[in-house]
Amino acid sequence: MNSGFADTEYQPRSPRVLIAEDEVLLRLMVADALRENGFQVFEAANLVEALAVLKTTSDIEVVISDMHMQNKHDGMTLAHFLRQNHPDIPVLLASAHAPPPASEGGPFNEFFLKPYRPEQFVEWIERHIGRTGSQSR
Amino acid sequence: MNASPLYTKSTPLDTLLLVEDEVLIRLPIAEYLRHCGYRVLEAANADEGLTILQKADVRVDVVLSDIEMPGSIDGFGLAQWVRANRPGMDVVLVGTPQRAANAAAGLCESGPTLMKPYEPQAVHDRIKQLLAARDRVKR
Repeated sequence: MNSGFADTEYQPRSPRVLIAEDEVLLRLMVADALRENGFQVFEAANLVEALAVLKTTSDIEVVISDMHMQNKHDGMTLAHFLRQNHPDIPVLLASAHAPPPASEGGPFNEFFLKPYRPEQFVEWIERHIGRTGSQSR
Repeated sequence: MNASPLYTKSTPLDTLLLVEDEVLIRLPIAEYLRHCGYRVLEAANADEGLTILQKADVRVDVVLSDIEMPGSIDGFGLAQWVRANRPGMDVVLVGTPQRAANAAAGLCESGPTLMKPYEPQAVHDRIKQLLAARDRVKR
C-alpha cells in the first residue's frame, strides 16, 4: 500500500525546476512543456511565492523567472537571492523588455526575450543540468 | 506566440483546475492530484482561474478552489461564473487546507486513478509539515 508523499521522495525523481511568472497562461504553457519533458515543475505566481518555495523545497536545480512581475525588479531580486544563497542554481530570466547591459554583470545565466517558445526553456535546462532530452520521460 | 502543448495536446487525462493562493498548500495538492492521474492547471487566485477558464482552447473538467482569496473575485464568485458559463463543469469549493486535502483525496478515489491514491492522512500530514515550514519562513 502506498503510504503517501514520503514514498515518492525516495524514488528516483525528475529534475526540479521552479518557474516564477505572473502571467498565468505563460506560466502554464512553460510548465506544461517542462512536465511533458520529464521535469518536476514548481509554479510560483510572484516573488513571494518563489522565495517561499525556495526556502521550503530542497534540490531545486534550475530557476526560470520573469523579470517584471508585480514589481519591476522582482526577477532581479530573485536572481540576487539565488546568487547569494544558492550560487550553484542556474537562473534564466525572461522579459518583454531588453535585458540589462552585459557590462552590469547580471546575477543570471541566461536571458530570453519574449515572446519565446517553451521548447527554448527545455533545451536550455537540459544543457545546464547535463541531461539529454530522452531521460526521465 | 506559437501554439504550445498546453493548447494542442489531446490528453486522455481529466483536467483539474486548482485555485489556491497559498503556494505551500497549492503545490503539494497539485502534485498529489498529478500522481493520481489528473492533469492539473494551477491558479494562484480566482482571477487567474477565470483567465484559464475563459481561454477557449483550454479544457477543464473539474475546478477545485479555495474560497477566500485576494483579488477581484473569490471562490464563490468563480463558482458562480462557472455555473453561469460552463454548465456541467464540476466545482469543489474548500475553505481550509484540511478540506482541500479531503477533496483531493476524494477526487483521486473517483477520478482517473493511475496509482493507488494516497491516504488522506498522508496528505494532511504533508500539508501540516508545509504549513509549519511556511510559519518558520515568516518568522
